[in-house]
Amino acid sequence: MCDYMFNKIKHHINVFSVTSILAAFFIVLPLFNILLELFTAPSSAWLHIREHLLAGYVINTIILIVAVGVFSGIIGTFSAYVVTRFEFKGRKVLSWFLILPLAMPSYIAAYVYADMTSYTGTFSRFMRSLHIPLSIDIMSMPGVIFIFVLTLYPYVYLMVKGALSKQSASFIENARLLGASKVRILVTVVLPLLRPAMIAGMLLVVLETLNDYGVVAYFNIRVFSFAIFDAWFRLGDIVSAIRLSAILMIIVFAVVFIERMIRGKRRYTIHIKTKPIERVYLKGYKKIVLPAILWVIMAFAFFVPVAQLLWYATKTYPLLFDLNFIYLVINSLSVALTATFLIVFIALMLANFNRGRQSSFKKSLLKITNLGYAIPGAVIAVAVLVFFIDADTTFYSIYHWFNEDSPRLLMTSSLLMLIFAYVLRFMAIGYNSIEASYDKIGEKFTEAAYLLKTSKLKTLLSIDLPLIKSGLISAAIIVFIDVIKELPLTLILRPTNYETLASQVYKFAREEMLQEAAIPSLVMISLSSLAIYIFTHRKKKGVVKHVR
Amino acid sequence: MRKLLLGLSLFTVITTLSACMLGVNDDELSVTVYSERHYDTDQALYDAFYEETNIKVNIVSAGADELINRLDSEGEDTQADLLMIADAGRLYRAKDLELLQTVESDELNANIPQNYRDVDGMWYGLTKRARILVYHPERVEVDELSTYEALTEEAFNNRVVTRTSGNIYNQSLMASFVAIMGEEGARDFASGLVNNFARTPQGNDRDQAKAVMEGIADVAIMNTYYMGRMLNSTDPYEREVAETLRVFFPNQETTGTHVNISAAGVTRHAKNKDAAVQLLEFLSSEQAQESFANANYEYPVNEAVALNPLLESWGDFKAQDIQLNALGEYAYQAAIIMDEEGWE
Amino acid sequence: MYVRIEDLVFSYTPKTPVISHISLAVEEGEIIAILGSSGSGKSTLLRLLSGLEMPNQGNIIVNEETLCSNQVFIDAEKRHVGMVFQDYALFPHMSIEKNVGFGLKKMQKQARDKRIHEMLELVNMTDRKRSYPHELSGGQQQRIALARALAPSPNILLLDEPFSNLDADLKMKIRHELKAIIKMANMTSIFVTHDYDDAIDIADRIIYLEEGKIVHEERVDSKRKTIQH
Repeated sequence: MCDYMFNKIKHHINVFSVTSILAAFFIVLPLFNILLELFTAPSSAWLHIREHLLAGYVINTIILIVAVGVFSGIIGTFSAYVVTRFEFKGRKVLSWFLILPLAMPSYIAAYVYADMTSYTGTFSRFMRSLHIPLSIDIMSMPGVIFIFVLTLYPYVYLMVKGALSKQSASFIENARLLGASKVRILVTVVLPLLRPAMIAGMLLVVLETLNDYGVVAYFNIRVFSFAIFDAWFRLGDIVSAIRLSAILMIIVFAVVFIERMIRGKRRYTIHIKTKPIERVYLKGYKKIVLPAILWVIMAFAFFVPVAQLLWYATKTYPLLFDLNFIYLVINSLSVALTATFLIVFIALMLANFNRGRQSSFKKSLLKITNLGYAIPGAVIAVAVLVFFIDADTTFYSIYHWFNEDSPRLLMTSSLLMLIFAYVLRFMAIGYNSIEASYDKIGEKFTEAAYLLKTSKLKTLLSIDLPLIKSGLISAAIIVFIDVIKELPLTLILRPTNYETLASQVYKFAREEMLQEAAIPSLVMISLSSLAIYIFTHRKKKGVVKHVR
Repeated sequence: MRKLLLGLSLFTVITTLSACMLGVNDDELSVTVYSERHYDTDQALYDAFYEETNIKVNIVSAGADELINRLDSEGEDTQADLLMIADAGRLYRAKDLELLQTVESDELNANIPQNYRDVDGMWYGLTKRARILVYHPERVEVDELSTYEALTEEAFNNRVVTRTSGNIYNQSLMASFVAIMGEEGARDFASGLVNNFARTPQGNDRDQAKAVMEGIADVAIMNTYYMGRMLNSTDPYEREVAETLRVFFPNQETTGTHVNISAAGVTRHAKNKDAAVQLLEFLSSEQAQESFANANYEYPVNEAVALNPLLESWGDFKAQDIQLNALGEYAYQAAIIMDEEGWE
Repeated sequence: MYVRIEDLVFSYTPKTPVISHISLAVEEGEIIAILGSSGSGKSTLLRLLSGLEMPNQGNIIVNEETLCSNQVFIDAEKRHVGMVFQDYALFPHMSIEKNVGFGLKKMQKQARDKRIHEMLELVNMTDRKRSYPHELSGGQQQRIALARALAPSPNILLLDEPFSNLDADLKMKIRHELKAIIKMANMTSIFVTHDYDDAIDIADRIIYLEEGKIVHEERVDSKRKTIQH
């Protein structure tokens, strides 16, 4: 039996499992490091928080995520449905335009709308010129919900649209033959089948909302991410901040758990050829009204803020030619590309590790590596910083041996720390997309290749990659955009004097120099929009389509 | 496809490496400042400093809290020689975290009044700002205004706005009240003020002025330099707001208007202490103070320096007579009181 | 015996064995059918033979080489076992030619092209060399899958429910064709099915599997009638 165990272990050691285990190890280490802090006695600050502030935080956070989740679910599903099911003028363009709000970081939308609705802002002045005494107070819970829903609904849109386009027309046609009305079909056949996609999209929206700091801080909305920074900086108590993070993580896990429950078991995929839905031409009033609603959503979510930013940019465009600005762009790009490559690579390893027979070990390992997305940026920042300083201190003797003049904090003062944090945080996104692609193709092609005497690595390169290419590219694009937009980690972990587009925008906006913030904001939005454009306009090779 | 990937990887590696090397310093004598400030006009000052002393000034700019945290975790290995941030409460915290060291300098003592220097010589104020009342002249008679405390009275019900309690300036304001009025008095002030809020605190100081302009409130509590900024804004509408509203320095007959500072201190593990002290002395000197303070429409701390016309027009005022360390000492208490009295 | 399976056990949890102490011997060139309903463990048996799964205990020896025992476990990539999957698993992004030649990487180009041609001749599909899998019918795909599996000259051939995806009237024809090809290649084959007609039409011997155990064995005579073993 001893030999058998040895054999079994040897059998399971391959490039996928080794990389996965290493990745999980490094991801868990910093988190574990700071979780130990939780076992210290609660400070007076914590007791104060618990007595006066905690209830407010919990209630506000729940209100926020429920409202944002529901409304983004509605808008995302509605728009995906209209764009997939019906045909109308401008449909093709709208179908990818509707994704564009993802290119707009929530905090930028927040600053822009706050400015526009302030007394001196475009909207207020416009209202005054029309003698309409209407002013909007956007720095409130409804305002913040508005911002998040508009900038995050595309997650739901993408998920639902993907599911809809694969939904077989035969289900709907069947239902029609059985005499069901259009509405009944929608409610009893289409929507239930879409539920997993809707819920998955809403989950992403909720996680992003919970992680945000820029918007809630500016609008003074008392939710958990706000609380963590507040405890850390205003009350000066990092242990309370960690405690709050722990509570936040529990909320997040509860949300994720609920999502899993609703989604049910999903290891099983259908490989039959499905008949795609045929689009129905819109007639009558619907022809105008439905697209109009979509265009209005687009306007508020994207065109209006961008237009305002463009207007400001006309006043500060010389900034574009500033050498510092060029450095800024290079910095942002290089860091984002590096992080993206790393994440996609590790995600590939993880996805491969996950194939084959399930085991609780595999499941736990995967949960660990995907942990990062649920943890607020602030916590990751602290964890990673402390971890790297400890590591540097431990390894200093080695650095010194190589190079006498080596700085002590070699890794901490480099980009390595920031990139590590990005990988920790965004691994889940890359992984989910790649895992979904693998799920679609199943294991048979890989196994067939193995049986045709091809090594695991070669099979990955010549069989897996071509077949999951579109999922891989989607993963890369989404991760890239997220890294470019990321704010809290970037602010705290970047090497001294290393500015990226995000950190620069934040700096300007904080200083209320919104006009100067316009140019870097627009560059970020353009880069992300370009990525989205590429994402949506890839030529789909006819062959790969038939894998489904 | 392969070629594209290869090209992309190459690009990434090259740009990452070059980005890493962009921060490399040369061997010249230099001072590294962790600074919250970053005004274009400052660069001219640093250039002048270089002309005079051949010492290069490296600025690392970030938010104050971020800088403090960074300094704290870097410990001995920090490259920072000088920490330059706003708000005495924060400086107290930096001192408390043992991030600063004592500096003795006759020149600094001569240039900077005692009230605006740390008791132990660990930080030196460079600019001053007051937290004042800004009001709309058509809705508020100047006679109505007197003290901060008066704002808690019935007459001002639903007419006052200010930023959130989370903001360091309000926190320091409250801390000063704890120092002067004691906890009871400060608590009464907080609850009374919250009662009179025209809306739940939101936005920044400029937003408070705009709220007053708009008619949401009649009086705002905010910092002096924001009025300066708005008056000189590129946005004509902001200018209109600043030109319409008036400033009032409260507590002139009693305890004085709340004054806060931006200051700098030499870091505990500074590698270039002498150069840092030299820079400090330079920034406190008559030569530099005018430009340094004017960059942000603040009051220079060096009393020998002339005020800019705007500040001049507001006239002299009586400031609170407290050791600014108090703003840090009572910061935590202030935060708790604000939370307990519902100041969001 | 060309293939020896000795006391094979496989289970996910100790209480529910999927394969429970199976022993089996196959002669060279023999065609064996493993007959059982779903859940009998028949597909698992194939996966164990191919090396895609690792048994809890037992030995598998093919052509005097121990593929699996308590000391040894040879990965699927190295086993010289050919397999035809239930849905053929032809690589959709490669032409028929590339598919068939996939397992022949170690050969020189000339030798490889020759072998590919040979295989396509064997299954009567030389004219579709440049086509892509999605352009072929089910029956054609199966033939290519066969060609691909046979190209590297494996020691044994495994087939997982080879006829389940085909229309009923095609089945008869294809069964005969398949048997002819296998016999021509003198390939020791084990295929798994739930359909008795499949088994009796092609196999030399039928093994009945139920709940992971062999419950019965039959020889099939030339008149396609079974003789009790």
